[in-house]
Amino acid sequence: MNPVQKQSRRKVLKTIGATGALLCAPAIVRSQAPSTIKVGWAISKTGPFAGGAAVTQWPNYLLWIKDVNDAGGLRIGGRKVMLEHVEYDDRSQSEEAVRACERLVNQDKVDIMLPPWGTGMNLAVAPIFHRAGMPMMTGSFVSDRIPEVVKRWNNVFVMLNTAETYAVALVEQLKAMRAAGQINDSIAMVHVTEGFGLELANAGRKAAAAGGFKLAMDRGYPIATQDLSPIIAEAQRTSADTFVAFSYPPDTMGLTEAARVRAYNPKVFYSAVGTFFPVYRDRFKENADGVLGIGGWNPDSQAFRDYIARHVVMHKREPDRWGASLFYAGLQAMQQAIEKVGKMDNPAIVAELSKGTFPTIVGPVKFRNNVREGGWYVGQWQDGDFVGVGPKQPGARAVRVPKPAWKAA
Amino acid sequence: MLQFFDALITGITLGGMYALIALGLNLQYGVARILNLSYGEMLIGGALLAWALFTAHGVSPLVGSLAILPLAALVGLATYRLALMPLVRRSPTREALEVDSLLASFGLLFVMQGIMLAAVGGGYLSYGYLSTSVDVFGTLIGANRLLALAIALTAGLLLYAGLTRTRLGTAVRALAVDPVSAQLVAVDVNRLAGWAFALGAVLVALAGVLISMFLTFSVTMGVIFTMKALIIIIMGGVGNLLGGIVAALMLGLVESFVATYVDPSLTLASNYALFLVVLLIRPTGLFGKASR
Repeated sequence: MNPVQKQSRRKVLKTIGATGALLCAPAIVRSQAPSTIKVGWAISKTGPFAGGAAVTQWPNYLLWIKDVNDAGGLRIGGRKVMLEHVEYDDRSQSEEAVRACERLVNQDKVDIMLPPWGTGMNLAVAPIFHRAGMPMMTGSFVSDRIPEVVKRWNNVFVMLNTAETYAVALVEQLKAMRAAGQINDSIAMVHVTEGFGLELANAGRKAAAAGGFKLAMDRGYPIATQDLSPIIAEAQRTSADTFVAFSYPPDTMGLTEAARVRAYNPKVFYSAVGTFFPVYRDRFKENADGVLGIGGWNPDSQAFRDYIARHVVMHKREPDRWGASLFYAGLQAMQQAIEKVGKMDNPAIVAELSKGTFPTIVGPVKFRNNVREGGWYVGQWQDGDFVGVGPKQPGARAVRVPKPAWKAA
Repeated sequence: MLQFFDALITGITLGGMYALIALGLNLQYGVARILNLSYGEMLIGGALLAWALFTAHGVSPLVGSLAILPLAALVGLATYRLALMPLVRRSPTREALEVDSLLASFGLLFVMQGIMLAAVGGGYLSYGYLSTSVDVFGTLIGANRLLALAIALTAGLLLYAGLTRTRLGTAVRALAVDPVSAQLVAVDVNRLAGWAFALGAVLVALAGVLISMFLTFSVTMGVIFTMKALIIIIMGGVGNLLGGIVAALMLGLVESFVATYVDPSLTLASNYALFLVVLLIRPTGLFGKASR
């Protein structure tokens, strides 16, 4: 308890001092832009969410701040203002995230707050963002209830999409393959029994039925399952040409490894979260080629290539090919909205975000009902890169079926 | 029939991996009486070193372990001498030491995790080694998983033989049963406990090295392994290596058969159900004190 009290006492003293200084200063100083903009966030640096957050999220927060500062700062009312940041570890616990966000608003008095990792965490802290009136630019928040959420909290912006969007886009791809006689109408579907995996599976079941596919297998497995061979073995016993796993990163790797070891070679092999990580290619090398997954990017985009290069310089590793760039693009959109408004006026920034179109590294970003329009829903590893194959749009690559058989490692 | 063998062989290899994870904790908790909550972090430490040697320098994890295992012994011994010895000295009873060591190793957990996070960050780490498929009675299994099984069984049986057939082993067992009385028959309790703790560290590092060949891990994943190891040694009977291996194989088989014949989403539940049933029937574990 003591450090907190001490902290707040210091804060009080600081506030008194600052108020005094302000009173003494001429009135004109107060109307000017602040000397620095404080950006703050709570995110999982430890605990089960730390892995995903480290691959996809906070490196982009830091990269964005660096890029803005390297360009001289955020342009506010004709002046350039540098960014500084505060970061807390929420230890993958939502109570911690809530506490840290309260602290960011009330004690650190941040001007811009960025969301934590994952759907559950984002939901937990959304009321705090809303109370503070701050725009909440999410990149790891994904749910079928997004429409309800953004109706309730109009300051929440979503760079991802509903699980349904991704499942339907996948089934669209499968329908085209079936029409071309490349696959049969049977799917072996598995999912991790956790948040996004469950939602994708629900949506996938409906989309498959609507698309005239039948599920030869429909199984869930707990997160952190250490041997996925029995699941691959069951899929192997079906006659399905398509294997779909609505998986999380460790089991995406585990399923691929088990499929390779057991020489399970369906014509279509799809896995969800984690497929787009650079570590996937590093681990499976040329065996990654032909694997379908969620997300993707447009390799023709020079802006995206430059972004990858900057990310490598700053963090000594590549960004993933989906979520990472969306975080960065979301922050770019927010930056442009702030600069357009010209002051740290949150309601005006929120209004600008909901109506404007913003050029970013992933192309123009526009929000319809607070959810980003468009994007990549299905990607595929092709010649060492995870490229977007669906939906059809400029830059989309043709999907390659069947996936080549696994080679021995 | 093929399906049955499939499940059987997968279950045995998985059980072998679990046995490997639990061996070291059995020595640390069963013999040295340190309930080491940073156990999983030590495992990740071994995995991390193997990963770093392989990805940065192309060193085979098996060759790498020649350096990693002695290092683990040193770290284990130093940890015992510096961090845990004061607790051992001042604890009046075994129970008091368990509580004290639990708290101390909880702190150690964060220190180790923090160091590893600072070194490589929290992302997922993965590489493949010895991942060629081996045909075992018609079931394809990764060679690395088979190696883990073989090493678990060998190490477990060697240790068991050492404990039951040698003079030093008898002293160690005396220490595990009653550290106070052991002193009466000239057993240097503190030194022996330190060695047992260090040997436990070597085994857990070995488990980490082997597991890193086929599992994707991150430096924050240690707690999963600590939990698994705890369940296994409590189920097998604390301090009984053979019991630990039997318990691990049971867990692996149940997981594999439930996944194959019932539903993969029930594997976790079935593992805990088995754990509960065993404890209800034999509160001290399968091979607990009563049968020693």
